[in-house]
Amino acid sequence: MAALGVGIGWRPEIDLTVERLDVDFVEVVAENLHADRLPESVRVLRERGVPVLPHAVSLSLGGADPVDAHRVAHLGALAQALDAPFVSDHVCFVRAGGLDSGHLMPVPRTRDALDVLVANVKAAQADLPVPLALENVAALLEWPDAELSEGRFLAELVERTDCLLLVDVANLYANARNLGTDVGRFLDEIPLERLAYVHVAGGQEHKGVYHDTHAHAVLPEVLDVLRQLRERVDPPGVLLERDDDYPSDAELAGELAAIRAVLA
Amino acid sequence: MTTSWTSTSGVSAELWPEELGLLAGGPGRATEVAIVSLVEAGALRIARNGLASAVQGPQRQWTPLQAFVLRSVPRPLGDLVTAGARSVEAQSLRQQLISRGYVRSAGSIRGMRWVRRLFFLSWVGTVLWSALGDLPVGTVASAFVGLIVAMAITSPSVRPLTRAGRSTVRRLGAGVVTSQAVPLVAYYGLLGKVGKQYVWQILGIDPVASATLRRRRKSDGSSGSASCGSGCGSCSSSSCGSSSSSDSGSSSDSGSSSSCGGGGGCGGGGGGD
Amino acid sequence: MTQPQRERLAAQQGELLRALLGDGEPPSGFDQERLRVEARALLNKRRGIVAALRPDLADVLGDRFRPLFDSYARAHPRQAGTRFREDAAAFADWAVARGELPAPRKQRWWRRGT
Repeated sequence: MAALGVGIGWRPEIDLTVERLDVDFVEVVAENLHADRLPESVRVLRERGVPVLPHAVSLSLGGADPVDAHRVAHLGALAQALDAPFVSDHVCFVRAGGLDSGHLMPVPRTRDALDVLVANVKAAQADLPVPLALENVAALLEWPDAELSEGRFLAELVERTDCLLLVDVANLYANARNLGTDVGRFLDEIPLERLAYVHVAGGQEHKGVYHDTHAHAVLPEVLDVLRQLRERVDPPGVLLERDDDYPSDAELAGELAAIRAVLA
Repeated sequence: MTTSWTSTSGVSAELWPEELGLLAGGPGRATEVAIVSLVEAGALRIARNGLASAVQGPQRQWTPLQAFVLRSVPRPLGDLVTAGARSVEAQSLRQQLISRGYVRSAGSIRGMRWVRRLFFLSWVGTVLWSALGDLPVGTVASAFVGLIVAMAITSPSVRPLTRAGRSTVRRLGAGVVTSQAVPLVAYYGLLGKVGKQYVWQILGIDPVASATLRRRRKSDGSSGSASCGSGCGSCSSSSCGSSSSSDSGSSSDSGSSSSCGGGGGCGGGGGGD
Repeated sequence: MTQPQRERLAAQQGELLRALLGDGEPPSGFDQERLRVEARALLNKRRGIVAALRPDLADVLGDRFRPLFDSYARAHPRQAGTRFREDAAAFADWAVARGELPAPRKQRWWRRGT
């Protein structure tokens, strides 16, 4: 896996900040961009040679319905327009029963759900021009009757589809905090050689539950999970996600520096 | 009425930058001053596409208009100026300047316009009377001189700014330098021109962002002269069009019902109840 | 090939979303408190996106925005295939129909800026 370095999620509100931060790579939310009308800032970053990775949030690969070919085509077109080495989405479902949750919902960790996920991922891969990386999500609730641990579930997904992994250490922390997921076991079970890059994000605890808000500072505990991952593998890239309540340039630079310090 | 002046700061000791902006270009200009001062203070960002958003940070003391701006974002720059110009905060700023003798109230200008119409009508009456034959020509001539003098004396009273207001704007203009963003915007406005450059260019604002300002005005003609008074920055005609406040200004929603795009991001929305 | 699995999964996921987003019965086997936390988080996120897309609605409704949006949202879970912008417009229509918002005036342009 080619080295990406340390990056930040590009968002329209902070486009100039992202340009100033001088990061190694950025990620864009695929649904918010058009391949033929890229934002000026994204063009500027591409001209500088900064890799721009499309990150999708709406494929609903873990959903019971077959994948929507239009969404996959959009993601693929964006990958080509950005000359991206790979694209990503989540191990989750978004839509079910005709409803849209508006969020990345965890899938039941059952053989049934894994079979459907594998079929959907293979269908998406067939239509994508570049490899697909899949990300673990943060859950507030646990499905009953799990047949696999989260790590095993992802490991089997990789074995059966040859997809890449995008490990979100904040999501992993959230699940450890909210559902009791064993961080060490998770990191031992997943095939880290298939790691594309890592997400780091901020969140907040509210009434005993950790919320992965992407609108607060990164907790030291989340950096600690990154440190545990770093002890096992030198990740090709680490990306800071901030989606709301954007702080000053200096504060974002500080969070990036903290990430670099963990990786050093 | 005098205002003390410190040429080094470029800001009147007696009037706040927003008040100077209001004098030079109306409530819209005052809002531009509030916006630019917030950007200077690191409390507001303006993205390339013109979307203004608050920078998260410690609470600070803001002017009422600055607080309005921070409450109203995220919003495209042009919409933000329009909203600020119409805000209660901008209105009370104007009221203060009226009560302090810098700006004339709309009522007093209207009243003086009626007085001037009466002067004119009485001159017409004099001419008609003389045409009927029993008024000496000398009287008509001196009535004419009287009319001219009355018009000249009352002429400043129908302008939006008082003498103090106009001289404050003149001093503002004399002290403006391009390295000081806030007085620069107060005097010229973001769409104003200094030499060959627009003020928004000098401040490093993206052309796309500045275009959101142009959309709301008939022209970029609020050149900062005192004659603008308290109306020209405020979107006073139908040129305002409809503010597209339903659009967050980002290029969100690609036709898909994105699960966390469109402003929401991937985060969990917090646990607040 | 995966049809039976898809059908079983669809039933599970559909039941969960109906409970979280609408008025469906809470599915068995879940921690009931966590279902409430998740439902609230999803509602907060949806409300936040609509408020960001339509600051005008949030401005006009003020303190009423939150309770009104919440009762709208529970009665109208977002249908798959609809955008947030459409959701925001549907909420505005709903609020107008209930008399909470003034009906939009078509010829407002000439009033603006006065």
